[in-house]
Amino acid sequence: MNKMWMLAVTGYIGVTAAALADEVLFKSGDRLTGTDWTNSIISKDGTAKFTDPEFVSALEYFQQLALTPGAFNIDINSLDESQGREAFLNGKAGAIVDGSWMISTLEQTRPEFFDDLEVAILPAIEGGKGAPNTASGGPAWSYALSSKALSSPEHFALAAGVLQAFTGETSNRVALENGEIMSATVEFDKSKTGPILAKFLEMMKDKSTVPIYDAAMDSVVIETMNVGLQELLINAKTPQALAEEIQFQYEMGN
Amino acid sequence: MQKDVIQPKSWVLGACILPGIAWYVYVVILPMITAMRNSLYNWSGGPKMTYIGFKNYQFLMRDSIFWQAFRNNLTITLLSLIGQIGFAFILSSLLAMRFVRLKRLHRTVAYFPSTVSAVVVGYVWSIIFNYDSGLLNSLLRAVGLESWASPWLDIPSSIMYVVSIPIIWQYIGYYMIIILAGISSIDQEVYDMAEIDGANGVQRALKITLPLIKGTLGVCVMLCISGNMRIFDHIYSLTGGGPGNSSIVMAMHAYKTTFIKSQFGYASAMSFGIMVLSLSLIMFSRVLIQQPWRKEAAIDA
Repeated sequence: MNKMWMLAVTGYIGVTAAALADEVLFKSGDRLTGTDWTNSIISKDGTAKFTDPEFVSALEYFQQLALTPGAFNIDINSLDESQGREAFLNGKAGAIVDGSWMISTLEQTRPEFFDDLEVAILPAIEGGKGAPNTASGGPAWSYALSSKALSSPEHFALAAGVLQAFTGETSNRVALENGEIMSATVEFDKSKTGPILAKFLEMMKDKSTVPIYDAAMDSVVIETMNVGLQELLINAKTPQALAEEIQFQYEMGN
Repeated sequence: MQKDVIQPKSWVLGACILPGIAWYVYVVILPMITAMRNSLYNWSGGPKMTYIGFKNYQFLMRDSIFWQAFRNNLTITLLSLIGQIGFAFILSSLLAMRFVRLKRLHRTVAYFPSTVSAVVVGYVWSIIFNYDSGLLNSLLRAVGLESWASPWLDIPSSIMYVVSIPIIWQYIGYYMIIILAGISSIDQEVYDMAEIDGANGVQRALKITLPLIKGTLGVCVMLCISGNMRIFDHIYSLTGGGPGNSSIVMAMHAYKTTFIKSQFGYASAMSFGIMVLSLSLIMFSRVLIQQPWRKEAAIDA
């Protein structure tokens, strides 16, 4: 954990605005607001608002972090995902903020990184309402069944067979052995996976997951947030104004 | 033209253009009517559509991002008019001169970028503008101008000029070919006489070529405006409209509203707004070029 922030202080970290928004804000957001707030926003029960002081303070925190000279690479707004990773894989960036889906790429492209590389979740934030030992995670993909599949027992049996094959123990094991993180816990052959995945799984053992903003909230809200975060990064908008804008889009969508 | 040699019956002509008209109605007119209808609804895809009258248009009038996008489109158009057509005119005037060698090679090379996909151009230039390893910054650092090296695609105040460069670069050759075609229709004797009278290259370009290819330039201006009002792919692959909304253009705002925010009704209203704005701009430019208030304009046109 500390390693990452130490590296971040030394200068270039290959981070993109999208990754920063995704990994830093969405998670530090939960760190500051607490998961109750996040769940209330997702369920649209009307109690939580984006203009609540917790969320505004998350935006302020994020902007403060981003505007600290040298904290992030200055081309943060124009790098795309592959360019951000390239900086890290070429050794130019000391750290990268990315998701677990990056692991298999890493293990395939830079095996010499294995010994030195550590994985970490974002550090705790002082005064935050959320639990510090959490990472956002959860199922982001799902299978849908056509109502035709339920029309006859044979159809249903076939469809259930397909679902079983895609989501059952075997497919989970194969995926894990190939470096993909799955939502189910299954036993798998650890000798087949690389050390980074092992480090990752080891780290996640005592961590729990909190909702993924961009998987659980409306796309309008996420898009407004993503664009707005870039505006925070270039200091073109205040956290308060952005919070109001997000809240406006959120209410429009309800 | 010998009119009486081959003149098919009018029903034959009608039958020949019918497939074209049917296709045009299907891919242009019908979607336009559908969009007009959708723009009156609050619709986020799916079966639920709520009629809301002209509310989407009211919202469009107050949508600051849309108007910023429009201003950005105008900036690109203005820069392109100067950059694309201006450079194309200079280059084609040079290519029309007698002493220039390898004219065909120059023509081909200048036209080449127009054949490349805009996404590829955008991507290549995003590598050129890359802060860390981009060609531009590497050159600046190599000649000792380290302080000039900037994250070109990250500075909101100059981003529109930066994203205009690839767009201008790509289409100079395109307008050059059109202008060259215009120049080749000018009688060579006019130039010969001017040369005998002692006119130099610049005078020939400005006093002979320019007035005589006015019609061609009008076409170029119209193509340039219509092309830049719907510009999308360059910006999409260069900045995605960022940082923030600094380089957003109308087509991208409509795209994001449709496919990312799923506000189909509002996006339809926006598309309509884009069409109205683009058409009025083109008509305005036609009026400026043809200048109907001047008497000789009628003869020129």
